Amino acid sequence: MEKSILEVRSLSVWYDVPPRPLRAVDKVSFLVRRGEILGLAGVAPCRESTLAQAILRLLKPPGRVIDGEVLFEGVDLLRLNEQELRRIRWKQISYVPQSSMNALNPVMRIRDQIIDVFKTHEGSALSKEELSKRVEELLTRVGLAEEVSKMFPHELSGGMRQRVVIAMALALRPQLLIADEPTTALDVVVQRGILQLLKDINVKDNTTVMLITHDMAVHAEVTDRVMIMYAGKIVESGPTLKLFSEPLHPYTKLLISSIPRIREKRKIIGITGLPPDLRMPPPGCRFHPRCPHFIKGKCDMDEPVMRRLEPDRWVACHLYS
Amino acid sequence: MPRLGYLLGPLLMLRASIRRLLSNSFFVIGFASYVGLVAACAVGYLIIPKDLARVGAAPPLLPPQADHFLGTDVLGRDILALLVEATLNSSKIGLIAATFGTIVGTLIGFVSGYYGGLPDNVLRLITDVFLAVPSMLFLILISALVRVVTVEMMALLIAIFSWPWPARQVRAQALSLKEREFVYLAWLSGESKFEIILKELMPHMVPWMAANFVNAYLVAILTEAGLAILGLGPQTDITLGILLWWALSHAAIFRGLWWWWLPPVILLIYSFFTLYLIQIGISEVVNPRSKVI
Amino acid sequence: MSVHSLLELRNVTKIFSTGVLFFRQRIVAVDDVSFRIPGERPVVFTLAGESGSGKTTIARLILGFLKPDKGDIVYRGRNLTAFSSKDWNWYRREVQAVFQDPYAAYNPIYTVDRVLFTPLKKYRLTFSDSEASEMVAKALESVGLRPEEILGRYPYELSGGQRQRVLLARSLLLKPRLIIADEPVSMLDASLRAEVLNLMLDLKNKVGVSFLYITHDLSTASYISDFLAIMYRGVLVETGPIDEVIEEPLHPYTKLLLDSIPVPDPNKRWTSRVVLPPREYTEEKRMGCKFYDRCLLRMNICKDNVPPPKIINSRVVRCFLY
Repeated sequence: MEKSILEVRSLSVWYDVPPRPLRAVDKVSFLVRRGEILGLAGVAPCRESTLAQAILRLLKPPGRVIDGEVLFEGVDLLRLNEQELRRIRWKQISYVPQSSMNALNPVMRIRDQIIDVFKTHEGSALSKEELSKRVEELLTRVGLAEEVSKMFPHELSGGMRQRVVIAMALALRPQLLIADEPTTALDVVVQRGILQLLKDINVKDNTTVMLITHDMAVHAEVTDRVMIMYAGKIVESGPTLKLFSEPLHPYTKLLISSIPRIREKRKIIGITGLPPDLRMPPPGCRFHPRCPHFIKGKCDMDEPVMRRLEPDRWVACHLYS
Repeated sequence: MPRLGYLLGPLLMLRASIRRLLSNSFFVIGFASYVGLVAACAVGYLIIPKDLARVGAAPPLLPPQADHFLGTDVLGRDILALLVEATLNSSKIGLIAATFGTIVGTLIGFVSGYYGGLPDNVLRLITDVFLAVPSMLFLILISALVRVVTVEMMALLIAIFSWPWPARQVRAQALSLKEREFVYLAWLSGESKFEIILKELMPHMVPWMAANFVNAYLVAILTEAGLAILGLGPQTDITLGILLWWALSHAAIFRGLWWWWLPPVILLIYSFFTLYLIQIGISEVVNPRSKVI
Repeated sequence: MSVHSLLELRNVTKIFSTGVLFFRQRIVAVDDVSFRIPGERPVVFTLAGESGSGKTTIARLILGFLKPDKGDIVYRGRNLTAFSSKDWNWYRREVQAVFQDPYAAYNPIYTVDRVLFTPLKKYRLTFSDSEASEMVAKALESVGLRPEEILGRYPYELSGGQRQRVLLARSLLLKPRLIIADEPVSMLDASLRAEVLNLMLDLKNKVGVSFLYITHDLSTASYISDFLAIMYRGVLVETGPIDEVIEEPLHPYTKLLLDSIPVPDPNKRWTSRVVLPPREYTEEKRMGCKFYDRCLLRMNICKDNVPPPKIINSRVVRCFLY
């Protein structure tokens, strides 16, 4: 059995908003295997970001971790103090947040911002020449020309800025990279390039990647395994190939069939109803109000538990219990 | 009820805003305190016989006593009577200057932001010039040259410098609002440009106008006091600043005539403080944009 | 020919200048663009391109929010630049819009009723309040909404999908001939997207409304569209019936775009690689074909010359390969 690099156990994250807390992530458990590209799919972008932020302890109030464990190589990140965390953040696990290409400092040159990453996390252990060399290496790795290092963020296009941010995330050669919607707002060609880049670092440097996006097509293109989240819970997970060819959970099925495919003239259907209010989630299975396979008396009463159906396929649905 | 729906929106919003203001402690305390002061003075003005404020109404420089709660000044005038009238006049100045400043500033700022182009460039230049110059010095210069006579004149003079700040704020608001998609949609729905300004954009400006109004009011009162202390205040009417000036010119502090110079100072500080509370209250309500706006 | 065109753009150019005095920058947002939406039957015409390609500027030009610097926009034979205010009133009834952000299209201080009733009132489409209420209710129902759940609510109380559908209902009330839909589904999640797209198809087929569908997402375009026009940095590089363009893309950029669309099928992953440009050139320096830097099939002539539009059957392409 492959060793897992990250193991999340029963993690719950709530947002303390009046009158009732919003249960963004509710008792979520999963594994990230070393060397894989794991996709996290969901519909509302913010929930999955919440999960990523909770793992890295970057949550801001009113978000709050209620319970659970996040084991990175056996160590529970939720129980570490700030100093120990800093040793792990960026060096072992790094994070590319949503819209990060807009988070670059507009008044600093690219080179200086990357150097900043080194300085903050590794101290001033490296000499000026070393740092310059590293910056060049990183830029080359993401396919940017050397002269980009002297530029300011506004001189670069969105795609280039995103590559810079990825370069910054790779600076300290982390073992795990969590990328949150790294390609929204980018054009398809640039998106393809960025996904290709993520695949490269996974294959060549053995960096484990956790890719969070609502775009199922992106998952189909690059991930090894996918987890589907709905209303704060994981409803299905499994190898990408299998999940797409034989989706188990009704939500997964509907999600996949609602994607229009180019060159295919097939009527697409949406999912009726509205996403649930996470302050008062529906009783039982959270998807039951919208599920075409709803079983009265069961789905609205008991919450389905994640069951292992095949060696690597898990699903939480009463159809399979 | 659809037709009324248009009016209902801003009215409901107004009611919602008022409700929120009323639940904001800063606003309530500030507002009640300041309005309380002005109301008390208004009542006092009506009750206290005017004679007491005339020269020679009583023996001069009497300390506070039964007949004269705040004593008398060097000319035998009852200080409480003077104080009451002074406070009302100072408020009048604040009111006039603030009203003028807010209205003119809003108009200029709006035209500047919404229409852009040449009018914007011209108006913006003028606004920036007015903002940049040290207003106090200019006011001193102007009031020294134009011997300001009445409270109303003083107010208008101060108003010259109270419109630029609202203008700038409103301009920024107008700029951001005019590109909003609901403006496009309103145009596509058949609303004329004028209707768009009035019904779509103006309601968004109101909170800013309110904040600017209070700010201008506050600044006006203090500016007037400052000018008055320098001897440049209105000649015919009495304001808190004038009262203080008289006291100072007769060395009231040195002579220990505290009942003459202390009350206006206290009231000026009180006015400033309570108005500032109102301003904080309004800012708190305007800025953390709740889900209604 | 113009008699049968619903909307025609002829050599339309729009230039924005930013900056002040010596730091002026000219951005050619729309560069000599021409295309035609046929009027014989309702169609969905897609204008596709990435952000910065100029497609939103074209939407604004068509809707009259901007004026073209060069060229003409002709609607049903009439030129927009020659419009009197009466003409605009007529135009605004026939041409409506749905925008990308279903929240920004509403003035947050009013209920959503306002966007529905205002056009009825302004364009005098009804004689009484009860008639107006009836029309609104019918329009809401035709987009799958229940009037009692929608009317009287503020925008923040509705979901993104509901808001977008209300905007479509609004467009319907005016029975327009043409709806300019600028990224109407990109801010909606996948399930809602399907519903709104199906709704647009229904409107076209059952009510006879044509759409100018502006998007960057070719998959949704292929689902509903009849024609496809591809924009790249202000230039219209290829136009034609959508099936033809997708099956046989002529312009290298179109080919690149189509290949780069992620396919939700893990068995059909990308096999080739793309090379992202290590740096990009700003507008000023590019003299010839704007796609030169990224084009794998570029030739010397492309560097300094702008390819003219070439007509091949029912397609139009701007590329020196042809």
